[in-house]
Order: sequence, then C-alpha cells, then structure tokens
Amino acid sequence: MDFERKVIVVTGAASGIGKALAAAFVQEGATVVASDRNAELGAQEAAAIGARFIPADVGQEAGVKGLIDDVLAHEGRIDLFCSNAGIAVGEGPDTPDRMWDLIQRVNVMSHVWAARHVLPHMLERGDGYLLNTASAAGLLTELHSAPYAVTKHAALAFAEWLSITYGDRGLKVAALCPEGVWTPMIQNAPLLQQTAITTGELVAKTLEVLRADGFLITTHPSTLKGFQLKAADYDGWIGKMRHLRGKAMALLHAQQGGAEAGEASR
Amino acid sequence: MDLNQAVAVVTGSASGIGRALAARLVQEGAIVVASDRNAEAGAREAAAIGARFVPADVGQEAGVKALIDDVLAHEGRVDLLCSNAGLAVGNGLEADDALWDVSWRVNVLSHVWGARHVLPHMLARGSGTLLQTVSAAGLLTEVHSAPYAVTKHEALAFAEWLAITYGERGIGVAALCPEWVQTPLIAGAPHLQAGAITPEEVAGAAVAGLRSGQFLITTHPMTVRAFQARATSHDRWLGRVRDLSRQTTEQLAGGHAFPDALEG
Repeated sequence: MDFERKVIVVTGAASGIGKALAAAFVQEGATVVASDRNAELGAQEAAAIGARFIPADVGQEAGVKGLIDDVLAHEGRIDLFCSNAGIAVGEGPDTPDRMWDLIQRVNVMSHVWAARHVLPHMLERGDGYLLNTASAAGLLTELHSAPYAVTKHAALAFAEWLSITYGDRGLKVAALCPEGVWTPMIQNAPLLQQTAITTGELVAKTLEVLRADGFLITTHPSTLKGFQLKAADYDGWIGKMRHLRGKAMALLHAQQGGAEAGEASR
Repeated sequence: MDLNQAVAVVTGSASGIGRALAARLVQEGAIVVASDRNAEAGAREAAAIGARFVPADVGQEAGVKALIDDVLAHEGRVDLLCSNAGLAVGNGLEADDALWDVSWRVNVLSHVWGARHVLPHMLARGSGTLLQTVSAAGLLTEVHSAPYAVTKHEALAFAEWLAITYGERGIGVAALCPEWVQTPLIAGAPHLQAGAITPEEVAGAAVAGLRSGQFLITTHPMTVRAFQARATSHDRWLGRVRDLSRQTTEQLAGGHAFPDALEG
C-alpha cells in the first residue's frame, strides 16, 4: 500500500512504537487517527505530530468499537488499522490470574475485537490492511515473562489466521515482530538493550513491508534465524534458550544490583 | 523418564487421547490417576483400564488444584502431570467472546494452573515431568477456528517457557503436538479424518517422547516440515494454507468442523 491520503488508525500511540508509527504515517501524507488509553499524553503527542486523537481503552471491546465507529463517522473509512497497544506484565505460572486475563485482553483480544468491528467495513470495500503488533517473542519467547511470551504467540497466530481466512477477499494483514527496540517496554530487559534499535529504524522496516503488502515484519536478523533454528531442531533451540536465560538473569541482577546501589548512595 | 511405578495424572481421560494415554501409562507400569469433567464416563473408563478416577473441571483453577491436592494426599507425589484436557470449538472469528474465553481457560490457563500447583512439589523434589497436550495447530494453524488456533499457540508458548525456565531444576516438559487424530474432537471434520491416526498411536508417540526426554512430540512427519516452511517463508506458507483452507471448506459443504456452542 502507499500511505498518501489513506486513513490510518494507530492504537497505543502515546509512546514507543505507536507514537513513531503515527508520526511516520503523517509524514507520508496519511490522515492519521492516534489513540491511547492515556488521554492527556496521547492528545499532547497527537497534536505534536498532526494527528487527530481519540482516547480509547483497547482492553475493553467497547473501547475498540467506539474508536472504529468514531473514525468511520468522521473520516468515513479505515484503510489501515494498527492494533499496536500492548503490555508486558507478569513472570511465571504464579502471575495472578487477573494479570493473565488483562494481558490476554490487551495483547490478544484487542486484535480480535478490532477485526470483529473493522472487518465488515473492509470486506465490504474489498480493501483494507491490518497491522497487528506482536513481537519477536511471538516467534521465539520472552525469558522474563510467560504471559508476554504466550500472548505474543497468540497475536501472531491470530494475524496468520486472519491473513489465511480473508486474504482472498481483499484483506491484507501484517504482523510486526520487533526484537529489542528503544522504548519504555525494554527498560528492565538488559539483554534486549544490547542489540536494541531505534524506533526510527523500526519504522523504516515497517513501512517497507507495508509498501510491499507483506505479512511478516522483523527488525533483527537474529529473529528469523532463531525461529528457523527452532523449526529445524526444537529441543536444541530450548537448550540454547536455557543458556541465554542464564545470561539474561545475570545481566538483570547486575542491573538491579546497580540500581539499588545507586538508590542507596543518594 | 522412567514410567514404571511413576505416579501419573491424566486430565481429559474419558475419551480420545487422554483415555489412550492413561491406558498406555497403566500398561507401562505407572500408577495412574485419571481425571475428567465427565464424572460418569470418566469413572467407567478409568475402572476399565485400572486407574483411579478423580472428577475435575480443569476450566476452573479450583478444579486443577483439588485434583493435584487429592493425588498428593493419596499417592503422595506426582511424577508426571499430563495436562491433556482441551477444547476445539468455534467456527471462524466468532461474533462474541464466550468461546474465546472458554478456550483460553481450558486450553491455556488449565496448563498455567497445573504448573502453578504442581511445580512447588516437583521443584522441592528436584524432579517431575509436565506433558502438555497442545496440537499441531500450535505449530501451524487451524483454519476452521480462530480461538483453537490461537489458544494452541499459547499452550505451546507456555510449555516452551516452562522447559526453558525449569529445565535446569529437574523439571521435564513435553509438548504433545499431534496432527490428524481420530477423536470426538474431529467427528464433524471429515477432511481431518482421512489421514487420521488412532489415539493409541498418539499415546505411543507420547510415551516414546517421555522416555527419551524430548520436548517436542509430533505424530506426523509433515507437521515439522510444515513448521519449517512457516519459518522459512511466512508469505509462501500463508498462501499454501489459504489454498488448503479453500479445499477443506468445499469438502465441508457448508457444514461446521467444530461445534459452535458448548454442550450442557
């Protein structure tokens, strides 16, 4: 797709990847509707980049539906809907169920609700693009958080399912699977910080794939290499990830130890 | 792992893969506790194979916890927890959330709850194995049901995470990813029955995998080949599955592969 004069909606647009994508789409000549749960910061960032802002909590179906209805009423159509908002919470199996349910709602069901409410419109026009932000964790894993790893696998599987099911009817789907990107989300993941790219680099890769009507967007060669290793030798991949986990935990402890020492010296 | 005299728990044991797995584990010399939501059929099948039966609804945390507590109280330990109960419901995207929610609870959270309540015991002993029944859909997809495809990917991701996190502390984890099995789950999907194997063959694959300590257990060579195709070129794989989906939808001739309502 090209972006000029297209109506593009971006959720989670107050910070990180969402903010960078929304700004890039404006620069490309699109009519951008930016949305975020954080109404104050969201409105401020949207104003700064020249996007219209609609506050919405995509952890609720009503929030997603309200956003889509608002855009259809005001801009008249949606050419690209970016289900970008996501959260990273929890650790292992002991993560309380309310956290499991919350991350499932925000990282997975928000994509389902967006499809439910925007697809009738797109299928009727025989045209439309969904960009669903998953993560490299959807292909690989996230060592620090089982709920994140699980729900990002789900987001990728859902994007695939949409592409398979509606690809013949004019719907295009892309799954954004970044590895470390400099956003607030990786502040506690020192391993990801070692190879983190800027949001600018991420935006360039994303726009390139969307221009070519592609599906899978990755940001690091290591992502697909890791996924292909998993497919070639699953048990070998698990062993490698165990080793990497040892490294990640050591780095995390060093960083936390440093932070605590910093606190103490103040 | 050594299955002889091992205490093994199998959920969803009243039919299909669970029943075959429980029977096979009894044959291998394990002390088997079979569990199912269906108390009547579950008790009957358990008696027939020589397993103790504990009814439990694993769609509730209390059901999973009570089952594990019961086994710890009676058999004194759990060497192998087979979180096998699963649900294939839905046709397409689903107009409301009910089938999404129940698939999330039964296909994913039941595995989380199993790990939550049995891992403290296994970690304290420094030994134990979790066998999670996923599906080839967890590596690939299931075109007829978005909730099934999505929650099976989640189940595999969770099994992986457990294997990575607890592997060095004596915990074995295996993900059972069968393709095309002749079970009640696919009774309404004639296209899946064509290349289907029996639940007994799946149980055989599971036991062989447990013995050798494998993580990934599949039943059809084409599963891993297709997974490799997905990892090599996503777009080409999507196109191929789209073609396949068109064919199977024609074969279903307007019928539904899976139930679109919950029984009872």
